[in-house]
Amino acid sequence: MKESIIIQDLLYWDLFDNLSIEIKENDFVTVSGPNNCGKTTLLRILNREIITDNDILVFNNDINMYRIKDYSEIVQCIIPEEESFQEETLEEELLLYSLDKKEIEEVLKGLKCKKLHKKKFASMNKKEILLSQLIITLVQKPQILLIDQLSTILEEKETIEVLKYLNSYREKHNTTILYTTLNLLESLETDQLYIINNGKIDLSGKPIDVLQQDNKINKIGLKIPFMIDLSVKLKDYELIDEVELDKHRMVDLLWK
Amino acid sequence: MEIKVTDYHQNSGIYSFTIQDKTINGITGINQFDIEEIVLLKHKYKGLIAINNQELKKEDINQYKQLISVIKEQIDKKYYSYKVYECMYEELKRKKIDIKDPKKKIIDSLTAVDLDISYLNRNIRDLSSSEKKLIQLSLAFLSNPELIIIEEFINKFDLKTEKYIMLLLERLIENYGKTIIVISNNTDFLYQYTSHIIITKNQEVLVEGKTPEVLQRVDFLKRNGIKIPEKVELTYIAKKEKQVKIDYHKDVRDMIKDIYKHV
Repeated sequence: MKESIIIQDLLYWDLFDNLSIEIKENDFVTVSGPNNCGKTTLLRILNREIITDNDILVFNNDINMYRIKDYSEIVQCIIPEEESFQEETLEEELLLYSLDKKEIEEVLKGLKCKKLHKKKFASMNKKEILLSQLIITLVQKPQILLIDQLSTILEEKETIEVLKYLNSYREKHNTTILYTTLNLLESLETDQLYIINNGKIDLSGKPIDVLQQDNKINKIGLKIPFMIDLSVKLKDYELIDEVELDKHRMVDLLWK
Repeated sequence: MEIKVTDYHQNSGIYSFTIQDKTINGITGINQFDIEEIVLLKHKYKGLIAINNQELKKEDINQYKQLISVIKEQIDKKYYSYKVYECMYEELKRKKIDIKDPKKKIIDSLTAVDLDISYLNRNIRDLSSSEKKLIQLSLAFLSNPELIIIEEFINKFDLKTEKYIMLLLERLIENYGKTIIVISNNTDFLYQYTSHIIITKNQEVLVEGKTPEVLQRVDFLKRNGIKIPEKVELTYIAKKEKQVKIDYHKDVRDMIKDIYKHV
């Protein structure tokens, strides 16, 4: 499978120090890292809100070579609390981007947001605003979707549900998704996890494998999801053999 | 500052609860922000409120409000175009805080949250979400409040910063006798860091008490749709399904030791 994003030796102020990352088409990846490691900045660079002269390729073309309109059709970025709507309601706003009623219905259903359709933005709470941002972006079917930590607004359970939907969405539309978050539990819904530390990718791989590197993650200053943390420690004591995420199964394993 | 609220009518509900003095108080549940509105006397006073065992009289309400700082979920967007120093200076003016040396006060508040003075010239808009949150904390410190109310903030911090902030709040309690209220839906966080908890549901206080005791009432909380902290839930399952005599722990290492003893 070909790469949809290639970042090579990214340098940007004191945030990135030769950061490199390659993301394959249709991959759903999480980028994490401690506060102020540059997660959101990375999204802004990929969304061309911040222009750099580094080597960044999107579908094998330098991102600066794309015309603005073409690029915005390929790449869309969602940063919570940075919404701007032109119309009064979600229904009216969606008409600006898609006339495919079936597609709109499907996204609304997938995100369990049918009630939002006719609601005015002015009367929405911040969760509804964020979900509206997401709906408007998804109906445009971008090839690359950049999303900044949904769990700053949504609760953990709600975030996981949205990530599960995004997983089925990208299968259907062949979308590449780059998601940034501090909550490593969310990465388990994605294919790959990259952890930025000191300007570089410090850890990378399948989330379940990366998350077992507890010493390194603790040193970086991130929180390991409880069941993984517990599993890794119980493995050290040779009480279990594999990571177990389900609490009932964990209890069964420990007290057969 | 102890705040004892009795039969306070708010949004068609009747609330009675106590905010404990010199403690981190956690608030969670549906209508959790009703408690904040009551403490802040956002609406017409309709109940009995006692501050440190003294009934709050109408003539003392303004003075009482001066003793509270609120850290909202997001920094006020009007400050986005400000530099940090301008924002803090504006806050001093807004709160009518009259001090001899405002610059020193601003620097002290900034360094209290472990930000150096280079931040004074940074634009609020350019700060990361965690930096904005730290600036909000330092803004709260400007007025030297007795009570600090913090709306959901924990998902903006990594573990290292979270521990630092919570240590800072604990020091404020120990050294300066402050009272803290943290409003959050994250019961794992509340279990870890708060001593007293108030859970709301259906326009009333469902339960309040010492955090470990309340959050270990698993059956009761489940019946009421409250998320059980993960550490509590695992221990509860072991106790209930396997009759294992392990204790509830906050630290995963203590939990492991206990499990090791009982397998």
